Formats: sequence, structure tokens, C-alpha cells
Amino acid sequence: MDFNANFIRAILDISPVYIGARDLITDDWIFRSGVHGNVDELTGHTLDELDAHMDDEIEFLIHEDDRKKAYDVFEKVKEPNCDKPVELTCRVLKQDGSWMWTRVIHVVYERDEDKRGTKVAVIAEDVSDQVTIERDLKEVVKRLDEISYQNSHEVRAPVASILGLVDLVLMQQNLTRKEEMLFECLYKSVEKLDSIIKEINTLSS
Amino acid sequence: MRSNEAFINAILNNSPIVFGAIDLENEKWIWRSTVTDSGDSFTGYTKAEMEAFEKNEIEIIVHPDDQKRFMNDIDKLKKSSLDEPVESVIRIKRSNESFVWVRVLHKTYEWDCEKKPLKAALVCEDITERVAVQERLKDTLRRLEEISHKNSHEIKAPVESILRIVSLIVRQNNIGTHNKLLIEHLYKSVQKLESIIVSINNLK
Repeated sequence: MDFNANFIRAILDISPVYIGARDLITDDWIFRSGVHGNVDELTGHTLDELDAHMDDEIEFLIHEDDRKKAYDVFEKVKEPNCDKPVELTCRVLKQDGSWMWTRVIHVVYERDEDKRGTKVAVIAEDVSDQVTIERDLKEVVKRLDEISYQNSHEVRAPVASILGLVDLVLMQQNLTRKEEMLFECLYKSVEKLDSIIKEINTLSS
Repeated sequence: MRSNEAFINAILNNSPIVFGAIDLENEKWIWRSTVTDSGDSFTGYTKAEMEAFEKNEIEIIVHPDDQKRFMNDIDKLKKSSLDEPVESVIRIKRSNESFVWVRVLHKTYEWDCEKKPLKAALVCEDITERVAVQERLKDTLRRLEEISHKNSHEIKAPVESILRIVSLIVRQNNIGTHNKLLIEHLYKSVQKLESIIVSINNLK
């Protein structure tokens, strides 16, 4: 395949992943895709802003809770014989002050004579939507579990107790016709309630 | 950046994306990053299988419900003199017969002298997991909605009716001490039930 300039430009334009190469000796970018004019498309920062934070890039760009993970990854790719992709999922600061969940894969593609990585290929992807939807799902499932627990334990207890009590009353011989009718109506209403609760249990399990 | 084989291989072998190029005139693949001599690592088809269905690839590997839409997208790409990307979300069949959801983006990168598109670059992303999570979220929300409706509407009627009947029974003058005790318990149970249902409704 002839990777001509037009093809590479088209690929980089439509790719949902950003591609880059980093020099591990100077800790500087050799190349990164997604730069339009003077702006990095992924983060929205200008190259001047990023250059100004060349010495404290991790502190500037990466969420403080993810920094240790990031340092560990950067150390790992510098270890001798690091021949497997090293993945990092972290929050990256965007120009507008918001955080973006980013999945970054690092692959060493050039080494020195001690087999230590000198250059690393970087593949970065914005996974914020994915993280948000997974978090939403977790929350909704938690709510459903709570409802399921309440329906099958807490709601069932008083219903069972009402049914038992009404049963006890109906077993008596000295009820008037009116009382009997009232308790039968009560029993039917509780039975109806019980069937709805069972339906809810089916839905929530 | 200077072209570097090791760098390109590192990207192509580790990217979650399939990269490719297609010949729009002959509707043929020019290249794709997951194909080696043994076959396509993304779809699982062998080289021989891929050669066998080269002429009717769309009919064989694209889900029947997505074929028409996908063909329209390719037509759009072939007719456009612009280099706007064309996006398709479709299901494709793997060699093990399972379907995966993919998001495909095409962009023309070579035209003839009359501005007729000749070649297009392509990126293809497996979004099966994302679609599954979205579907699960949708289904769970639907169930929550149904529960919410049942709790706030359907349950309300029998609970109100139970409360009314119990109030009527309590108002009876000739209830014996034993029954009075039972009815007090009954009333407490109904009140407890009502408060639990209110707390469930507040969960949503």
C-alpha cells in the first residue's frame, strides 16, 4: 500500500483516534495528529499553551487522581524490553476547564542498545461518552436493585402480615354479614396489591 | 514526520481502529490494516474466503437490515465531488457467524480530472460493547419507568381501598377486644406498607 500524503491526511481527518509519537529521551512530542492551525483538536489547547507546560505536562493536563497511574505508565514504557502495549485511562484537562476521559495506548517502537525504549507510538481516544454511559448504567442498575430489594423484602412483609391478619378474622364464626363482607373486600384488595407487587418484582429482577 | 515503518506498524497493530483504502470505481479493497497473508484478524475470514466473496461482499457480510442503508452511503460517496466524510453504523458478520456493530467513516482522497471520486480512505471502529451498554441502559430505564408507573398509579388504588376498608371496620361499634387488637395490627401494617411505597417512589 502506498501511504501517500492525501491518504494519510484523509485517514487522520476521519479517525476517531489521535495518533502521535513521543521521544522518551527528551520527553517531547515528535508528531501528533489532530493539530489544526495552532490548536490541538483533542484537548482544545493551543500549542503555545502546551509548550508552556512542557516541563509539567502531567500536572497541567492530567487529573490529580490519575497522575500516579500516568507516571507509572511513563516509567513502564522506559523499562528495558517493554514490548507490550501499555494502556492508560485517565482524565485530561480540556481548554474549557472540563475533564475528558481518555484512553491512551503506548507502544515502544524504537529502542537503544540496552533495549530501553527511546520512542513510543501513542494512540489516544476520547472515551468520555463510554465512561458516562457506563456510569449511568451502574447508577440505574443500583436503583433497580434497591427497588427490587424493597419490593421483595420490605413490601412483602406488611402485605403477608395483612393477609394473615385478615385470614385470622375471617376464620371466626361470630362475624356479622356486614363485617364478613368488609373483610372479604379487604382480602381481595390485598390480593390485588400482592399481584401488582409480584409484577414489579418480575420487572425489577 | 518522516515515514517510519516501525512507527506505522506499532500504530496499525495496536490501534482499536481498522484502517483501509477502497477503490470506488471497482468497489474493491485496496488495503486494510487487519489483513495479512493468513486472513483478516478483525472479521476472522481467511484470505480464500475473502477472495470468494469479493464480488458480493456487502450481501454476505453486512446485516440484511443494514445493506440498503450502507449501499446508499457508498453511492453518496461515489457521487460526491466533495471530500466530506460519510458515516455508516452497520452490523457486519464475522466468520463465526456473530454480528458486530461497527461505525465506518469514509473519505475520498483521490479523484479523476472530472472530480469523480476514485479512492476513499476508511476507518472502522467496533462499537458492539457501546451499543450493548446503551441497549442495557435503555432497557433498565424502561423497566424503572414501568415500576414507577405501577408504584405511583396501580399500587395506589388497592392501598387506598385497603385504608378505606380498614377505616370502615375501625368505625364498627360492636368489634370485640380480640378483633380490635387484630384490626389495630392491620392498620399499622397498612400504614407501614404505605410508607414503604412512598419511599420506593422517592428512589426514582
